[in-house]
Amino acid sequence: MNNQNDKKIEEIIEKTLEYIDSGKTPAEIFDLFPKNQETVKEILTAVSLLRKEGKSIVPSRELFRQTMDKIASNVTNEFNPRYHYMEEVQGRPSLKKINNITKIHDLMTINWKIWAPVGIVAVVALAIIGSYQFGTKTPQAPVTGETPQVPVVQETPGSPIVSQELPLVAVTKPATGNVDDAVNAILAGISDDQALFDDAAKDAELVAADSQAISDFGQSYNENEF
Amino acid sequence: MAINLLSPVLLFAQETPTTRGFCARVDEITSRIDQRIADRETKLQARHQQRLDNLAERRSKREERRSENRSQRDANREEHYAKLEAWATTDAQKQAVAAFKAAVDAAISARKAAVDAAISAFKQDVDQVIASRKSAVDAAISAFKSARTAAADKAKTDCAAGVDQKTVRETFRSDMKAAQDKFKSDRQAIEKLKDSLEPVRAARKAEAEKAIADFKAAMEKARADLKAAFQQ
Repeated sequence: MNNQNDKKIEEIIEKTLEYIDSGKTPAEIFDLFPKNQETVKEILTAVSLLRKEGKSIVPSRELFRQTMDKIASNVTNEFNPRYHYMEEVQGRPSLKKINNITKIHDLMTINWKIWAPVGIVAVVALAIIGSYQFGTKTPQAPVTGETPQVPVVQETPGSPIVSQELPLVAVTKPATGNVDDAVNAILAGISDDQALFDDAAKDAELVAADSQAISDFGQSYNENEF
Repeated sequence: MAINLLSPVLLFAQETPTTRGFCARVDEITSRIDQRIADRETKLQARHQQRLDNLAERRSKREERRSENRSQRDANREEHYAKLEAWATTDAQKQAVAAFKAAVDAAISARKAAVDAAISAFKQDVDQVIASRKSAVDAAISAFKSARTAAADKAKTDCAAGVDQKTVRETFRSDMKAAQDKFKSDRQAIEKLKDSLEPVRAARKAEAEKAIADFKAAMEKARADLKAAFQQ
């Protein structure tokens, strides 16, 4: 009795699976088994569950090993199809993974050996440049009211010597009747005389105004020419 | 026949291309050197004249400025004197202003005289160094030209005496090189002449600074005296 019942259930399962594979919908399969709808429902539920969660089911390592041992090599033409599911398996890291980690570690070590000295050199270079930059005095605009600079005698080789005018430095202060104002105004005349002397001292630069011409004369003879 | 054919080849073998015809080119070579000497001497003289003109122009402008500034200062000082006199109400104060004016005028005169003397002295120093330099330059040029003449004369004499042209040429080069080195040495000595001006300039500057310091001291005394008179 039980055997007959089991056989019948097996037939229902086989038929149901065939109908599923042939593309029939669950409703159509139900209609085909009016007397065993409860059994069909359980089968469909089980199939649906297996389809949904099937990929998550991982066999035990022992079972997997025994299964693999029973399968002859080159069962299919695919290259190592048995490993297709391996990305789902969480286990001890493979040697390949370990090798990759070792490679990354080696690469980082090499990079560190290269970049550490480069970095130190860069920092030192920046520090030197910085010290030069901060150590160099920034040119400043002349302060208004400063004593005018004594003109410089300019000599351009081959052109007339240029004489710059001595600036007008006599800046007088209005009379107020105050003793200090009067004395300070008179003392201001000192700067005129200082500027005069400094300008006269610049005449000394003209002494050597013929240096280039003298040097040129010395080249009148070129020994390589003859 | 064969000797006649080979004779030009033998001639070429005796003289290198560089020495060949040196005696024939001596006049041309010396003429070229002389032309350069003349050109550069002309430029040097023009430079000397420019220096003198420039110096004269600078001095003229400086004198002009000095005169303008001092006139301006004098006029301004008179204004200050006038204001001070206007504030002086008592006889003592009027006398103090008069004394102040006298003291200031004397101090200014002394300062101007001392500064002018220092500037004038330095002007003479500069002129002297320029003159010395020019003399030294003229002497160096003269020596170079004499050496050139001597080298050319010797080359011509040697050529006429049948001395090997290569030897003549090398002797000429050697003589001219010696003349050039001598001129170079003279030029270095000439450049050092201007260094003698630096201590002179420092001395003149010290004279001017002393005059200014004396003036400041005189002015401070005049200020104190006048203030004391106005506070009484």
